[in-house]
Amino acid sequence: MEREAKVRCEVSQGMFPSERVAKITLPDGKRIFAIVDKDFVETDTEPSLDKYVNGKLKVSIIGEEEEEVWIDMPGQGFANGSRVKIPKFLLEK
Amino acid sequence: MILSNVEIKQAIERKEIIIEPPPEEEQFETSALDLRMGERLYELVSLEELKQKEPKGVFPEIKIDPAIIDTREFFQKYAKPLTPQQDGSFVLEPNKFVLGLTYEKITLPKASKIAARVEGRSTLARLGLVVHLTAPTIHCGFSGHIALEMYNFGHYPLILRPIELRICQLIFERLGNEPEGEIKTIYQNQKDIR
Repeated sequence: MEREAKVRCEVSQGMFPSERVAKITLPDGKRIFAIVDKDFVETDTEPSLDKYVNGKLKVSIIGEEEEEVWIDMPGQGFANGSRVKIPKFLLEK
Repeated sequence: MILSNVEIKQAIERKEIIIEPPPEEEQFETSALDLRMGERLYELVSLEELKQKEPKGVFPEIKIDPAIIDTREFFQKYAKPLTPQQDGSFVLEPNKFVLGLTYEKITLPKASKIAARVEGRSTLARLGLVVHLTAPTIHCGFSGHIALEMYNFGHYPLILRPIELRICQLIFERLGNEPEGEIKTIYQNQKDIR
């Protein structure tokens, strides 16, 4: 069942040079953050601390429902853990 | 089961534990591996400094809700780099809280079935230095530098020298099974340490 995937997200620089912040915005407006190593995100332009740029976060899909998937992110946010449920349409095709 | 220094070295050899840059012999303890402090430290901006940013006469109530705060905004607004001394070292004053990273990057591939705990070192603890606050677990599948939440509980300022100071130790443990799910790492199956 497990497979690797990329989730569309916004990326900014983290507190340290090796860190990035990935922000996934859900349809209801809730935001999921992950503080991850820079190797786990892809962006077209270099993110900075004062703005987000569009990017992709490398994740593992560990479960699937009709319209949603459970993913393991490569890091945790302040409040959320690393295992979250997101809509399928946020996955990179 | 906690890994001995012999088993840690074997795991490094087999790429079950990946440490970048590779550790020196002196970093191995009998049942742990010492890690060094990274080059930067950050401190949280004081309430007084935050109030100074507001228009004169405005005293906003400052409370942080971790469930809704934007992490980028948090870094921008509430964290600032600690200024090093001329020789690159930092002075951690008593009752001061700072955030740092280990100099070494750690990767624990899921297939290795190894997790770790970051702990302080007794010599530093006797000086009052705490290097992590309630967050010791390094999950199987993790890859990155380890965050350090440091606080000086002692009475005297402490000089912290990046890259030189062995700031913490990692205790490695084997899991019974390979965990479900995966923190994906680009280092899985790599032939050499980059």
